[in-house]
Amino acid sequence: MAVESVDICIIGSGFGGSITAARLSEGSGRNIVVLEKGKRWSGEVSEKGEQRSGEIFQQSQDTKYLFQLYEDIVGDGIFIGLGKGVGGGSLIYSSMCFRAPTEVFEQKDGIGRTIWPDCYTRDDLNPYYDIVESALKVVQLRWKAGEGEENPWDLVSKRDGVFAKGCELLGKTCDAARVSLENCRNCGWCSTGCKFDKKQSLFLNYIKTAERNDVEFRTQCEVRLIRPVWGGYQVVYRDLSAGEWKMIRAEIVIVAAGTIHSPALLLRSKGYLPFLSNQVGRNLSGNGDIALGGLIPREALFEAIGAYEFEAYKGKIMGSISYGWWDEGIVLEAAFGLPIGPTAKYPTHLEGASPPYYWGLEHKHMMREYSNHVLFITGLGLDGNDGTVTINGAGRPKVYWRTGPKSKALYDAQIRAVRGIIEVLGGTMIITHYMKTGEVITAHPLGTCRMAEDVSRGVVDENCQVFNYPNLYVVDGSVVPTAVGVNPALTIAAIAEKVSGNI
Amino acid sequence: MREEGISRRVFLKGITVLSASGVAGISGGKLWADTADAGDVKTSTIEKATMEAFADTVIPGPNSDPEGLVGGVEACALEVLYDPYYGLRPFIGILAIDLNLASLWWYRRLFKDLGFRQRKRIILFKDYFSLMKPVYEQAELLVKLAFYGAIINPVGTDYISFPGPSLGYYGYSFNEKFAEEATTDGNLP
Repeated sequence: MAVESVDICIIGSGFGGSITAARLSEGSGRNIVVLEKGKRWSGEVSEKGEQRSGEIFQQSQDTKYLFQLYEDIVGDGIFIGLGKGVGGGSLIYSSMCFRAPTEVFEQKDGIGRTIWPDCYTRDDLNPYYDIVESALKVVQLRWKAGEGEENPWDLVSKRDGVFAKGCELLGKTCDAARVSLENCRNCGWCSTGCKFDKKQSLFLNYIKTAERNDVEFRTQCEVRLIRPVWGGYQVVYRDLSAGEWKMIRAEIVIVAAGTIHSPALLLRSKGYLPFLSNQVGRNLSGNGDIALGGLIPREALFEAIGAYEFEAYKGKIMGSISYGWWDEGIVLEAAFGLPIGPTAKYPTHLEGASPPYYWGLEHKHMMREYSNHVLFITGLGLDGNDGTVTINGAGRPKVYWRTGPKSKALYDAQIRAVRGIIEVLGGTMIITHYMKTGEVITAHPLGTCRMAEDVSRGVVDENCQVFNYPNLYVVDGSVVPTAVGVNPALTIAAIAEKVSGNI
Repeated sequence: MREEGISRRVFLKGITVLSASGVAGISGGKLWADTADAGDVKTSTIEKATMEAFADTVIPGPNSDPEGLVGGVEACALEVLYDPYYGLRPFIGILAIDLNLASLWWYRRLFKDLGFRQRKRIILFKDYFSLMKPVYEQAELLVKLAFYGAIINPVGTDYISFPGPSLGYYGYSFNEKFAEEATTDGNLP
């Protein structure tokens, strides 16, 4: 097998991989290759007349389509949804972009040590947040149009209005969200990829920059292992389209395969990397994710906001955030999920319903209210990093989650807060997956290659370089040492911007 | 008056049926499955009628919903159940036999000939006590996927007033501020 030689090999093309690829390619003349397991995706309509390539996003709930774009990790006690393709999580994310609050960087471990390395504070990251916000065109949505403005694209949706009203009735605040959108059409299909290219997925910005600088993105390449060789590392991968094993030798290797696959890759390579920290795969955080909601009957809705329905499917899938419970480490965001989510994928039922909970007449009649009277609220927060990623005999990731006291208290507080909102609006809680089974569902896994001050506490140093392995880096959600409480994309991106200057 | 809950006697009956269905399923399942495989899904077989009744119980249609509105059958749930992509097809023969053995034991009639409440009772029992529980769950999931996911046709999404694919909406906002904000720019300090 011939071994190809490059300067830098990046494994994965999500926020970590794409941003380092773009930055390292700027004026360096270095030969950079990005290996991506998924396919290339893009929108259907190019208003700038650009050549489209790869798969086209669809507005479809068909699992035959969705399983190409999503990777579902079914763990023990946890379900994780990941984006799959060039652009990683940016293909399917809600586009919510927030800076992690100051308190996030001050979290302490069980014996009182600050978990984040000293050089990571909100002030330190602010310049990098600025850069990322500019690249991703992040703006804050608005509650009201300006005078004389007709049909502006950047208003919050009706669903956000109902959520805000609930917060207000409880004496809590609700902010319009910050999103990476431009001229959004408000079609409500953000989670299946934006076919109009309005959501600023990475292929519209950082990846474009990188490719302009001759970075090569290779799709359908699944990396098996990394081993040190003289003057660098050898990356062994399988070209899934050709069905062939291939090897690349690179001076610098950046692992950016995401919070689940990066630790799995390091663990698969442990025979060649024996001095890896024993923290690899530990400290998995779900970022406190929990899906909750309630059904607000017509009359109650009218009494609360003066409208009989709120057309939850219209607008951005997320557009508001309440920091009203931040003193408990919680934020809440109104959300819209495609109907197959709460029916087929993670079934829900109305509180007080009788069996059969998930099918039959009663369930069908609840679902009739789905589009206009069901308010879903996503909770995020500072959980206890209770999960672990290991590998099975075939080298595939295995994920475990056991909700510890800190996470349990968080989820209980989130349920209490959402119950308050639903009940003050005159509605009934919907029993969602966590409430029924105790199993966690997250779209924001973090922390399995924790960034730390020393090898006994983490896997990488503050520059994201793997302890004991010069020129081997991990740059993705896995290095974020704790939950960040808000949507983590911007923080992962800011860390990538920061460390790119030191690679 | 009959009890609505599941009594000990019914439970024991169920266990017996389950054992019988295991044996019968192994021997008879292939025959039934072959019948369905031989033609397309539209071929009239006991299995097809059983699965139609199953879909009509999971999401009741005009025959079972007092309001007479569409259900799983109208959403072409059978096509999804039999779609090889979803992997349930090899188990449908056994599933149908299991349902019919249970209905013969309890009600002396085939599953397809039962009323909605009787069918519901059998599936509910199977959901909790059957060794084939994962198969039942998967079959229920596929019926819901067909209906709420609009896999074949949009009758289910029409029922829940979800318009499906869209070029975008005007009038998506109340254009009103309902609560005070905690921050000036959407970020906490």
